[in-house]
Amino acid sequence: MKNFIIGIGGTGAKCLEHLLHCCSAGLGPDNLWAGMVDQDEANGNVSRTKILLNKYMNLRSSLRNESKHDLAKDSNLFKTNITANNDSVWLPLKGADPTLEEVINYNLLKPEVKGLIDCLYDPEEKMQNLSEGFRARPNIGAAAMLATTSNEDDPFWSQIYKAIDAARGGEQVRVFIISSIFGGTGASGFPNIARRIKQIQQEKNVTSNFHLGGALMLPYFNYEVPEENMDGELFARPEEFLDQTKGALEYYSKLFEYNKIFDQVYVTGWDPLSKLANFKMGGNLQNNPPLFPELYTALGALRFFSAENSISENQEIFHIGKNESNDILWSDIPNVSNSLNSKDYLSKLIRFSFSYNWMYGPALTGSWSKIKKFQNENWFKRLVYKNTYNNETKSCEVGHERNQEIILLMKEYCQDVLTWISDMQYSTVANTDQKMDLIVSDFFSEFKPKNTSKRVDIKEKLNATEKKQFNTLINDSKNLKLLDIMSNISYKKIYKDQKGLGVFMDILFRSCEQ
Amino acid sequence: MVNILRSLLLSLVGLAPFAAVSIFFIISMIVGVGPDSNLATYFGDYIINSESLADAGDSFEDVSNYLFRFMYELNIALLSLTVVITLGWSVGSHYLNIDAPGKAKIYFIHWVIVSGVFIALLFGIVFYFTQSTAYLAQQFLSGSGKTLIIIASLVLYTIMYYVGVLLGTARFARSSVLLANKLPGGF
Repeated sequence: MKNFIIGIGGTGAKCLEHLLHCCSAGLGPDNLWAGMVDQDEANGNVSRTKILLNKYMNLRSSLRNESKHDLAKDSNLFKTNITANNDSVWLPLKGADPTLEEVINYNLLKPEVKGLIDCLYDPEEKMQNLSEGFRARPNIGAAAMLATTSNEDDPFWSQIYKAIDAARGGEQVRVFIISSIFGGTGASGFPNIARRIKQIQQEKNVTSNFHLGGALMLPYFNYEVPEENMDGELFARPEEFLDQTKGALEYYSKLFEYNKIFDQVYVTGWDPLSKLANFKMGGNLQNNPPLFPELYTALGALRFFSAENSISENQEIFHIGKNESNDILWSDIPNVSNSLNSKDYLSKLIRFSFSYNWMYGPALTGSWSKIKKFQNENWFKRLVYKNTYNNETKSCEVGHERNQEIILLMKEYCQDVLTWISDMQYSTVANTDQKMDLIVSDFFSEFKPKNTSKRVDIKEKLNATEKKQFNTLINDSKNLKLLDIMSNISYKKIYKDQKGLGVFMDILFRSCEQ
Repeated sequence: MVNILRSLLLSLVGLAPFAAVSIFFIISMIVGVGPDSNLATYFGDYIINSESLADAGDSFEDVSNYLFRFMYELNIALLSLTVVITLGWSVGSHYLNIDAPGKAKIYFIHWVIVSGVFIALLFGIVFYFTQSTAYLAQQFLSGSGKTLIIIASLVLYTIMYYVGVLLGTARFARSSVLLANKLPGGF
């Protein structure tokens, strides 16, 4: 089965961030092509996901290399083989600082068409610089999207063509699109890209094996817009989100009634809305924290890709939101399938990240002269020394540059996981009556109000007392201690096909399981 | 729990060859050996003070029951102590707070203390048997016989203990036991 996911706009990119972490925990399908669509190329949310995607692919290819480092086929760590185009982000409008006028060649239009355009768009909208997205104006985005080409030569669209060709060849293909319903890029891209995909499917006369799924995010956050210097600016206004959503839902209700575009649609909302601390119109400063509803969407996508998900002939619409209580717990997180328990996999990844970042990663970092002090310890001897020993040079090569690159990249990735989960837990409920109790994060992360990013940071080093709180990290009845991790890594069985650093990484990951 | 059972099993494997010697000796003493057996001859030649026995008008046959009882009770006590301490350490090593790389060697001191206590108890038991008046048989032992009993007991049971803990210590705690970290990683 081939799987494709497209995140449209900032929300789409943010949902992909959650999805990548879920895939590294082992909740994803065997393979997945990931792409993003955003006119605001420099957008902080998109850049963050792009960096994370590259990190995932680099780490996975380094640790799933059968000749050097291999996690083994049965390992769930970085299970999903994620691929992407060289540039994972597709810009609908090419060129520097495009405007709607330029995109539709307004000056070349007949006077009566010009008149129609003037009715639909005010002068500000026509002249708006679109290099930072469509600023929550789906009417601009829709026109711009429709004006772009979607031919087979385009690297982004060529993947869609390939997917449909694969379906024609008899392979099961699933494509999933994620976006918000209330923004600019997402709201305009979602129906247009979906319809274009459906159109290609019809052109190619593919009637089976191809399934299209989508996730729509209803409003789930808002922010305060500063009053000064905003006159004449076009930007996403939170007070307009609900009206936009209402209009969009009416549109989709009609669309879905007469036209079966999607096989499954997942709709996610959140009430009361999360309150974001930083407002930025667009660009690299628009770097919003991960929020819990996005995790729902990511899990919806993974459910869609799951082999256990049997897609019926009828269009199915699933919806999910906050439960009635203001306490958000692990039990509020749905499973991907009967065999993939989201909580078990995610908590394993979080424990792995903690123990790698603060306990084992530092022990493996540096030159051999620094690392060798652990050479007589069982975990090191069994999992690292033996598997990075070069018989020709008669030396352990864990301190070599290439191995150190992997060790450091994994450390960075673990920090991303810890920042993601602690930031999500903090930012989803900050300044609301809600309470999220997935993990205990205050001993390893901190929110500094003066910090301009308004994001949670994780501590560089932990003292012994803080490390000891590992057993309280995941909020559940179980009580896995660092001692248990040490014990587990000393006894867990090594798979036959594991090699190099893959042995240690997988065993540590498996050791973090309850 | 599986790992602890594994440790116990390995520990018992380490104890077994030495314990077999000890148990064989204990059984022989309980059953009693014939006056012409090698063991009886050895006792007569090296352990018993034959001169003082003759002065008192006793023969080896007269005191053999006391001596055999002395021997098997001494060995039962030493064997029990060794097995309890070895298995205790093997189980306990799984609970040592070795939760980070580099921490195992800190617990070397714990092992030294446990080993010290074990050897002290070993000495205590041997001295109690050989030097106190609790056992009548001790007055028939020669000076060199007592020394031989002390050295043989200490050597046998100390080696038994060491091999037992060497194999039975939790893998992650091996740096706390002398030379245990030289064992192959997968063992």
